[in-house]
Amino acid sequence: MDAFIEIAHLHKTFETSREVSTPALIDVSLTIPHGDFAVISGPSGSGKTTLLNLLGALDSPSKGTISLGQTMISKLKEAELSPIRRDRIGFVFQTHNLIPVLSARQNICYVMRLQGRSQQEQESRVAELAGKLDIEQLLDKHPDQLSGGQQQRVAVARAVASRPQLLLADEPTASLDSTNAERLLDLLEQLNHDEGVTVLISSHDSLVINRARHSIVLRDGRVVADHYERNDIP
Amino acid sequence: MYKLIWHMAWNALGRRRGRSLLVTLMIGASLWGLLFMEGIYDGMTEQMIDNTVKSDSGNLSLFAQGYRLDPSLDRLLPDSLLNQQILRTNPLIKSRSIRFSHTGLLATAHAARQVQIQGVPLEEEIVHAGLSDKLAQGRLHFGSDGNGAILGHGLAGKLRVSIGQKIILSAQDRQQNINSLVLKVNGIIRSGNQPIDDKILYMDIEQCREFLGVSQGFSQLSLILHNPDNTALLQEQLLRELDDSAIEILRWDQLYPALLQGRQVMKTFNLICNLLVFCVAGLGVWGVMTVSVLERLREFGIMIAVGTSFQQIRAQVLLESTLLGLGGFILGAGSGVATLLWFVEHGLNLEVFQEGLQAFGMDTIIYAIIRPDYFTTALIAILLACTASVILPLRRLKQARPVTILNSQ
Repeated sequence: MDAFIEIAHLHKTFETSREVSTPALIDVSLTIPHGDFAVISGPSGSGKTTLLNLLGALDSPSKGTISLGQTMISKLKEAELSPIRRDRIGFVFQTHNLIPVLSARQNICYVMRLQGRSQQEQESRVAELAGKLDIEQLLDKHPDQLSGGQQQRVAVARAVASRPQLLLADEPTASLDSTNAERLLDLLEQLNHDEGVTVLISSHDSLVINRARHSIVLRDGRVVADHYERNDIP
Repeated sequence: MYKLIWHMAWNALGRRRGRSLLVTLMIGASLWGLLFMEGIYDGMTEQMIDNTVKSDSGNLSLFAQGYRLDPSLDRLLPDSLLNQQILRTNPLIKSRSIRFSHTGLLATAHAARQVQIQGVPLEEEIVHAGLSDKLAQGRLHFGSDGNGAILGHGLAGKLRVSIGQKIILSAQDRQQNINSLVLKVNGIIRSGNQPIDDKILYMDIEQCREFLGVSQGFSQLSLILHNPDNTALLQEQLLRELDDSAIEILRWDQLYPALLQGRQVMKTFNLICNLLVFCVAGLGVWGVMTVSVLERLREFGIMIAVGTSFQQIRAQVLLESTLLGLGGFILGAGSGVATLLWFVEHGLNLEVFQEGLQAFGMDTIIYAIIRPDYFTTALIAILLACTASVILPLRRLKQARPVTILNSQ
């Protein structure tokens, strides 16, 4: 297997006060190959979101290293992380995190605009994703005019629009009904299969866990299980 | 990329229309007030200087050496001076007028006052000093017999004389005799120069010389230039060409240093006003931008999380604040220019403060001035205030990690 993400002895501790520090991740080491479709599961507070934030270069580890491809992102400065977030990582947040001043269409195009993609390319990608996610009617609405589920679908479209190498999704089905959750997972699998996007999802939804090829289980900040459900990594 | 930054900044301002409009209005109103104040105060100062230059000092004045310390009738400039080439054909000189000055006593049946007798060639003086504009009552005429007089407004008031009344002028002539002459008040002028208005009596120069027993000569040659900026240049030329051991050549600011100080005080005052107004405007923008950035920390956090660089966010915030500043500048400069143009044309009538203004040698109608540097200074100040206003909020944004911002609200 060709390793895409290498996590070695990763620690993350939150200093809640001068005297109190809370370990969120303890000595986590993982390897995620190219084109993997992995799910990180575990109870609340087990460190799933923390791990995803570190992989998404939104936070820095207290100890240990994270490599994305040949780049050790845990050692990079903030200014060096921006292009990595923009070009290589798509992030679907638990709370959607759409940009409130932009319409759904503009949110989906935002990263492509940052990348300098042409207007035509942006439009065709928006049309393609809107069809797949059934959000054609929502494109001109602003986030505050959308329901939680609709926002989540737009957020997924934004995350994948720029064709990132790695898609991180934090509880992506949390605000979706089972039909829409299935559609979303279909799309993520399709992206994984067709475009070779490495997908890493944190979830405790059985619907998601059952789709995983690679299952990672966290408990109290430690990896307690790391195994492949199906041996069909592309 | 610039298009995206522009789009985001414009969207952010549009989303908070009320607040953006309020800041724009605040900057615009501050700038309007500042421009109005600058234009009127500068107009006031320049009018004072202009009045003094026209009614007395000229841009340059020539006196016989020692005359200003001891203004006796023996210290006069010769009439032949007027034939000097440099004074006759100099292209820098717009107009010139000679004055024959002496002190005297002016009396009516009820009152008497010390006066400054000013013998002048009336036609030249009318053009040179712009007397037509200063005429308050009567007309500018010394009469066919040369026994007419034109009085300063303050002097006429103190003596309670009016047009057509007879007055008696007494003075000591060159031979130390006391001479008297009956003159008729033909005109009263208001020059805006208080010493002139309170003391001056204009009479025909030939009549004046005869009255004081002087056959030729004059006390002062006043020169007004086409371009006042050439005053020092002409002074240098005259000092080179003329015999400076016999003639004193002085600029208006050497004769009236207080006026120059007044101009400098006004510049300092304007600068302080500039600083105060823009501190207020700057604080306003700073407050708005701080709130605007801090309440959008999450939005910026999302933008950073999806790959926007801090430099792009900095450019967006700076653009937002600059757009607010420029909006305020356009509003303030536009309304300021319109207001000042009106006052350039019609003047600001301050007749209700007539007594007080005249005591300071100021006109009661103040005509505004518009200078390009009002706008360049204001624009620079606004842009600086706008830039400074986003430093702290951006600093706070830069120090936070994306995940901290995303989890903070």
